[in-house]
Amino acid sequence: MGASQMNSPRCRTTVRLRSAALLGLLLVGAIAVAQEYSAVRSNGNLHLRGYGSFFVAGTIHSIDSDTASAGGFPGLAIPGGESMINQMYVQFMLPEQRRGHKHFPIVFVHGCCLSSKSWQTTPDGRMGWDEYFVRHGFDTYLADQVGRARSGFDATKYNMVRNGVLPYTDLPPILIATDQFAWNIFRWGMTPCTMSPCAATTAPHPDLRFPVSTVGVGPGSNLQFYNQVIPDMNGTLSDAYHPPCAAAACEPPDPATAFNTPAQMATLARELGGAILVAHSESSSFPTSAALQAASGCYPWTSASACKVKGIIQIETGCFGNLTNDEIETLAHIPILIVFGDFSPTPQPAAPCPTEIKQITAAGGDIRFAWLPALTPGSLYPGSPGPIFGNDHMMMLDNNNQQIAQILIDWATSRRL
Amino acid sequence: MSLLFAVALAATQTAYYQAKVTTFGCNSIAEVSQLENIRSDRKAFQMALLQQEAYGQCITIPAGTVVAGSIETARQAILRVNMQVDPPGYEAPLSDFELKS
Repeated sequence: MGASQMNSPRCRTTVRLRSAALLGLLLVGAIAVAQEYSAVRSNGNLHLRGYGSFFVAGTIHSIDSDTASAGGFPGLAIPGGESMINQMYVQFMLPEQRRGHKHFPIVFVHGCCLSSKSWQTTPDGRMGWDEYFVRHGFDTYLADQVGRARSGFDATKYNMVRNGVLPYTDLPPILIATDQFAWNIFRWGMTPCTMSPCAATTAPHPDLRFPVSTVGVGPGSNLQFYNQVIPDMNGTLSDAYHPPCAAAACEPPDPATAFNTPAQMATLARELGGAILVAHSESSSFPTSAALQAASGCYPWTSASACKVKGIIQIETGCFGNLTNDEIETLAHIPILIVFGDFSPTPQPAAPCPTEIKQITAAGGDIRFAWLPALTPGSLYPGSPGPIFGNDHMMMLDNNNQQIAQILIDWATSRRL
Repeated sequence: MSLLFAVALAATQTAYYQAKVTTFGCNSIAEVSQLENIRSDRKAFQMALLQQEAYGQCITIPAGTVVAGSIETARQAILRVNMQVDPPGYEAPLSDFELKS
């Protein structure tokens, strides 16, 4: 075919159609591979004495018909009335009773742009932490953050803007995590990813333990991990940030109102009669905040029996450099474990963790920072391991996720939690 | 003297402030200072803040947000926000807020 013929509209159309067909075949191939139910591995029978879900109660607010409908269904006005916001969805699995030390229930809360899926089957089909903890005797609870996933979110302002009641500048922001966000924040790449798709432009660390086949790296790969990356609606949270202001005077918010996840975690810990709180990334500070909520029974400190936050585990990072003396006193009574993985450009623990560690230790507390690649044997509990390399920000999904989970379990056991 | 007294009094009392611009709060004054130091470099600031948020150290406070705040005695350029509803509260740049009477 001569050059002029190749450049003819007909030829270019033909090329485009062939390219589209080829792309379609590739996409079909990718979609077919991405249906990963077949990749979910069987881990044998799981014996439970209980399974279910519930909500930690939210708050009722009244909305009018215009706000409820906002033109979404033309000619069909949804009546105004009461609507629930700030609820927190929790699902649980309770293992069969076994002899020996009974652990406190353990509650897992996910981070930014994710959901309780973080703790479930890994994107390449391996056992998640939820099942691992259940198999090791923990009553295991997974909570979706207030405003995320099955906890829903407060959509009021979106409709009020749509109706022209509020200016568009009042639209709560939505954080949408991209592949570049994941690659850079989760520390997968040897260099920062600045051009998508990161799988094609950025080399992962050679010893990275994250299943990169689920983010498009390597032959036969898929994008399964990205299915669990969802919009972060935290911008819709909290009337605490917008207390009613009338006639130039603002009314104080009710401190007992559950405006956000830490308050709900405190309530949950109390409802469970005591719990170990585990949180990750964006939520890694939530267990500490929960312990400092009055609902937890821990603050101000009175007694161990009154305090329902029995242990705190923070996965990257959630430290505080602004604790008051009273807050330090509370936290000095709660065992705390902070875990950080590999590939950090900054030596760990980074500020303000050393401040918090020093303050709580000086107050007689038990707080440990486990920087995995720099672990000293026996530093977390008798027999705790030495250095572990290759873990990233999503260590609960890494190929040694069970090893890391076991460290948390052994730490909790050593503290009689 | 009365002005000094008023400032000292304001520093210890909780009042309501409104964010004049989209700003941020962190778990320590040091983190606020680090971010303020690079704030003029918009891209570097955004990346650093995003990283801090992803690691549970800082939050974004949208413009217009009303917070309960008290000025830090040790650093009067810093506002401690929402100690009651989000204990222990976040440290934020005072200059990004105005007192909401």
